[in-house]
Amino acid sequence: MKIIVQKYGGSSVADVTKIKKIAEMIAQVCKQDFAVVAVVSAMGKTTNSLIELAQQISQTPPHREMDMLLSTGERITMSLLCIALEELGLNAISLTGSQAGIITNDRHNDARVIEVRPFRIQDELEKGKVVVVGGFQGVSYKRDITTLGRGGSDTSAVALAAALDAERCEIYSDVDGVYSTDPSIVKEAKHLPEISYQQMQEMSFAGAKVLNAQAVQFAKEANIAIYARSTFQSGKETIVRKLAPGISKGITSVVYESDLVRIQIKAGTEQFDWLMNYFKEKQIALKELNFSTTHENELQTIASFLISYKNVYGWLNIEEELKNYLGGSITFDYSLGALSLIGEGLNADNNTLHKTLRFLQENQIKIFGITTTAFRISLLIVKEELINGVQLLHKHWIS
Amino acid sequence: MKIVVQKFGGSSVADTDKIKCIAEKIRKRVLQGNKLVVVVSAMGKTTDNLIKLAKEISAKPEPRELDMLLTTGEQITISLLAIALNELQIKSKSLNAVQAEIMTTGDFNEARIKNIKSQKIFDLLQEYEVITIAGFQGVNEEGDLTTLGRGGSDTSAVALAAALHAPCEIYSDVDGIYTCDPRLHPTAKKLKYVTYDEMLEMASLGAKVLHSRSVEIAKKFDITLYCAATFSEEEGSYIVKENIEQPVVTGLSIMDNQTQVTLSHLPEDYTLIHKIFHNVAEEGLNVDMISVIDDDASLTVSFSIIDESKEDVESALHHSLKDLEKWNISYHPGYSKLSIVGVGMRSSSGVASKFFGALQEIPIKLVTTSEIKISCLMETSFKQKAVESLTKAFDL
Repeated sequence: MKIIVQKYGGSSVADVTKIKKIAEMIAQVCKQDFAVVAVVSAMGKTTNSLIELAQQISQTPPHREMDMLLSTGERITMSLLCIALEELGLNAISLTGSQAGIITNDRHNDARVIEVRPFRIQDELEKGKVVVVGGFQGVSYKRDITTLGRGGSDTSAVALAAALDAERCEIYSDVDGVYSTDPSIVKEAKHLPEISYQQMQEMSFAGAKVLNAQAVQFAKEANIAIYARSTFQSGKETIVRKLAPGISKGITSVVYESDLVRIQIKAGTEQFDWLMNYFKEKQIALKELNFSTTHENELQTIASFLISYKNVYGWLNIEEELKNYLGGSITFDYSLGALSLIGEGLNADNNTLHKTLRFLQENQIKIFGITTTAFRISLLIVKEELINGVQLLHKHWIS
Repeated sequence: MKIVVQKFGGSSVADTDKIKCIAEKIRKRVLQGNKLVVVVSAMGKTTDNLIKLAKEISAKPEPRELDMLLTTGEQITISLLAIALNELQIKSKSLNAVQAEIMTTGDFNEARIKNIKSQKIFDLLQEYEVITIAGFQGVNEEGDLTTLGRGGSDTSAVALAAALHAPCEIYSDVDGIYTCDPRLHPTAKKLKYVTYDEMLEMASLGAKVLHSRSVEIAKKFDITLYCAATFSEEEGSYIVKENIEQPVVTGLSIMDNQTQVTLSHLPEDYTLIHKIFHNVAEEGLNVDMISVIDDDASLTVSFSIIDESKEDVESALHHSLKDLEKWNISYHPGYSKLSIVGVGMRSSSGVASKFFGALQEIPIKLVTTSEIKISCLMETSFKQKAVESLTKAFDL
């Protein structure tokens, strides 16, 4: 049995008409003798409406209850899609994340998939059914419903593809793949027919909203190719897979992220340890961490972190709590964004970094921080300069 | 640990403001030292909207998938209510039917509760003040979600009360059980106590306060039910095993949209009667108020049905009688059924005489009685007059 896992994002299932179209697309794939597992997101703006309802009640809703609430969104889509498939004469069954065997840790709102036990899916596929799974959701070992955070449906799809040893994983959305930068900012953005796992991961990490970083990690581990396609527009696609070495040297894309906060702390060891523990307890992911200790009068730690605060529920309350505890020794800076160059072998020499820095300087863009890896150079600049920066760097390095 | 089960219907949780009000009401009960299990329905029109979406795709949505769809409605409410309670510093947790282990049969869209594993809820109540549980839904042996059909949330609440040995309070936009529908009889009195048996007669006769399945469960497990209005402090009605006050007639219930079906000139063959009602029952159709008259070697059978089942009944009857040559059938739609109910009737005489005395100016089409009720069928145009005479005669 050859299995294909497909994932349809929120805009692809925004209304009943689109759901019917997708049912027809799935029926076509079934005719080619593939067993299909379709992973779906919540319809259009459903998740946002549910968040809004919760916010009418509380600014700090318990994370566990938010997951209970939000996971209903995908359940609505998956049952409607099954009803549409049955209407076309196919046998279909919808499964929640829990029924599909997606086991996560208990970091509610941003859980990690730790194991997939797809027994029920395999049984239903054996019976000749199309299996439709609610994306974005799983179940913790405490048997509570969890959600996987932004782009979590991608993770569901790839994790299932890996566990089912699928032929491939197809991710359908309103864009026809991955571009060298955001085409809404740079008209000359180049479509990328294929890209390596590593580069895709770096792009997601740096703020590109095409594919979820954990999803790419799963695909890489299981060596599953991801096909990113547009739902209602055939033609171009991007294949994310292992590329032969040396294929993509140099810079392939320019990515930016604006929803960042830079936290700086200058404090004694005790306060610093408290802060690190606090982040751990609240399960807040730190993007970059710069760190140094001095021994002037007493042991002091000076550190700065970057956090994508949009991914943290109740961030404003967390900021309040930190200020209350750490007082003047902690500062929050919302003025900066990150501009990243993605490619391969970027730190082989200092050439790329050097040229980039000089180029930005010539254009009067001030740099507040730099991080480099073999695949990425990230620069902190003022938010207002981000789009200009993306356009300049894309022109300089790519088009 | 003093546990109380409360249930709030769809109109009580129609928006977030109402959910906040309910949270406040629950908080007060918690501060009085109770642990609460709160069963809620879907918000306002949510279920109707979901059904509408499904119907846009298929005229007959697959039953399992429909249940998967509809059960999201209550799950939204339980989480929002738990969020509201935690906001008020009341520690609470929501459970859907799978987590609450409300085990049902596998009949999608109309499943029946088989059992509830109450230990988990008892355990959680050690840690939490309130557990919010999704009404109307359960889980079958395969782990698939099911729904309980009409009045399902009431059933969930009473079944949970039975499993937890707790009293059950049902809150809705109806503030209690009245002697008669206040829209027809503005001076109707609210009853403080009603017995299970009376409530069962009244529920099935059209007093739309409680679904009869939930009353049956309450009776079976001797659970005290309390019905009151959600957003009012006024005392409601208790549904109990025995009513010490025991009035002879407790209430008058009215059911409109009745059709009288009359079959005449049937041969005097009593196996035919079995055949007729057997075929009607096979179609899952309900009949009521049956009368059989044996007159001059021919039989006349008359009974009542609800207007909307006429076509189905008609085809079942034609199927039963297709081998007969000479028979007649007539339908009279648009009738109303009025019933007086009271456990006191068991030990009183003269109730029937008083009943017919009050109705002597009204042409009555059919009559049936049980130990605790007398029902009669009449044209709907006489309904108001009959209500006035009967409430006066029995002081309702």
